[in-house]
Amino acid sequence: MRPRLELQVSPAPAGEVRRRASARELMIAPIDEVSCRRAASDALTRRCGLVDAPGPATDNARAMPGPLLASLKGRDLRALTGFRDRVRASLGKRLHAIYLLGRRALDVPAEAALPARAAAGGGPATAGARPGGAALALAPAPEPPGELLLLVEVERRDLWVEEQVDAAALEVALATGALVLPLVRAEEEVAGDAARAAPLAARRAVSEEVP
Amino acid sequence: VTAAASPAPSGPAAREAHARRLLERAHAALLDADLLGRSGAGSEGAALLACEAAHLAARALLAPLDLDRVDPAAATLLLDARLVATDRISRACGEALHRALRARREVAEAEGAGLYAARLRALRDGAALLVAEADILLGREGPAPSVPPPADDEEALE
Repeated sequence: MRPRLELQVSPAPAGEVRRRASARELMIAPIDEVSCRRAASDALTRRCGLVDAPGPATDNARAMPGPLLASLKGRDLRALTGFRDRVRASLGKRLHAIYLLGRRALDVPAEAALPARAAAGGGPATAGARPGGAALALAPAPEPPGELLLLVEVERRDLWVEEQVDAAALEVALATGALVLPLVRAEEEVAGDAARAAPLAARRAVSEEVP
Repeated sequence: VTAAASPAPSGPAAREAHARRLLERAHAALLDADLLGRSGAGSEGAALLACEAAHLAARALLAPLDLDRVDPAAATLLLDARLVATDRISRACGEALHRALRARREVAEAEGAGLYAARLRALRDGAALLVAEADILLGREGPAPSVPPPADDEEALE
């Protein structure tokens, strides 16, 4: 398990980095500001689940999440990655890209949207739960569920593709308790003049592609 | 779209009555969707009516649990968590509700939302399935559902 680093970039000269670390981490040599930035971006990338294995940051711009992607956490992040994986697995090359258009909070009690297993007592104890049994460790209370609005661009729209997308959205909702709302667009629908003038095109222009 | 809770009826009897009213509205919306689809006057209107029928049926199923929500997205999430995940209704109903939610948003967000005939039929059939399961769960009484059977010919909804 990698030690946890908490780095703070300060206006101090290169080579001096203020940090709080364990004795083991103190064995790490001082790093400059560039390395510090790289470590921070790498941590952000791993937090968003965009890179599987921990390692140095790459120069691939697609690996860097935008501010909206980076702000996702908890069940939203699990829902996004789960949906992406399911749709990729089912659609294959028919899937062109997935964009995250936005997130909206829903007027739903956090407990009411928990997955069935967690709601039945299989999940971690929450801060508001009474201590009992083996669940001694307290986890933070579940965050209120939200709706992740996605744009799924596919090669061609047909009933099979749309069924796969809907099935993936349902699976993700059952597994994570978060709602993924994918808007499907075919290639020819994105290219037309009317499509460019639609509100969706403006939203796509400022959205973030899910790697 | 604003997330808003419907005025919550207090007491089990009031909630049951509210659920029955929602279910009646779902039947009416489904009938309108079918009539509009058969007339060929407007595929988008027929699709939106079918989506409305599906969401009203979902709300009818949630109302006895005191979880009725006007927001379709909130109702979809609650139906998944409380009824589909617990096998009280079928997964096909869950998929139908997601299909309706997506169609509604695609119509609202995009020009030409790809409402081809097969998709319209799938939306209508999904809504009918959800309404039928709501009928069973809520023990709807009275005359048989006023929804005509699905069209035999392929061009009925075009």
